[in-house]
Amino acid sequence: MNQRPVYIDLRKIKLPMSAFSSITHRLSGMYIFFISLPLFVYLLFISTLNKGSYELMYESLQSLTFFTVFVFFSFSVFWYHILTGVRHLFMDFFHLGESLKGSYYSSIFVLCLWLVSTIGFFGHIYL
Amino acid sequence: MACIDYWIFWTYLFMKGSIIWFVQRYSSLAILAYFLYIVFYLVGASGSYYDWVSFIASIEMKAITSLISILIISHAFIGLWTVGTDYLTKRTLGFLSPALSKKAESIQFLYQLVFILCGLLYLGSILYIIWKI
Repeated sequence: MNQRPVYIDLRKIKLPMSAFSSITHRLSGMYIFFISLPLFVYLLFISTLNKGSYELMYESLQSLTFFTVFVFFSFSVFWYHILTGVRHLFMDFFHLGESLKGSYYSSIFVLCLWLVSTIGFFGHIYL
Repeated sequence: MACIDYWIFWTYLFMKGSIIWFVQRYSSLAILAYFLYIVFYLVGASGSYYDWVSFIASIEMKAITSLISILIISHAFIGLWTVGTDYLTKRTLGFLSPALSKKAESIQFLYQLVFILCGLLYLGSILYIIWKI
C-alpha cells in the first residue's frame, strides 16, 4: 500500500488566490524567523554599539547597495506577513471575507496594497 | 527513537486547545503595535545617535522590548510548530519519497530543535543588547 504511485508535482498545482495568500503568509513567516529576525537583531546591535558604528550603518543604508536591497527586502517580507496576517485576523475575529468571493478579493487587495506600498516606499527612499 | 516519540507526544499534548490559538492572534496585535510605534518614532526621529539610544535604552522601552521579544518568540514557535506538524509528517513526506516518510518523526524533531535553539538564541541576544546599553 505504501508503494502506491503519488502524483504531487508542486509546479503543476494551481492555487486559488486565497490559498496563495495563506501559503505565502507561512513562507514569509519562515523567512522572517530565519533571516529577517536575525538581521533585525544585528541592526539593533550595530545601531546601539557606539556612535561610529551607528553612523556607519546610517550612511550605508542611504545608498543603494546589495546589503541595502537585502535589508529592504527583509523588511518588505515582514510587511507582507503583517498585511496577510491582518487579513487572517479579520477572518478569525470578525468573520469578514470568509466567503469564496470575499477571500479572493481580499487576497488581491492585500497583494496589490503590498506591491504598491513597497514599490512606492522603495522609490521614495532610493530613487 | 523512543525519546523522540515521547517528545512528539508531549508537544502534541501541550500544543492544543484554544489558548495557543489566542496567544498567536493576540501576540500578533501586540507585535504590530510595537512595530508601528517604532516606525512612527523613526519617521519623526532626528537621526542622531544620542536620540536613538536614549529612546531605545529608556527603562520603558527596555521593558516593552523585552516583553515583545518574548511575544515574538512565542508567536514564531506556534507558527513554526504548526507548519512543521502540517508538512513534516509521514503522509506529506511520503509524497516525496517512502524513505523520507519513514524518518518523518526524526525530521520533525530536528526541525523543532533547530527553531527552538534559534529562538532562544535570538531572545538571549535581544535581551543582552537591550540591557547592556
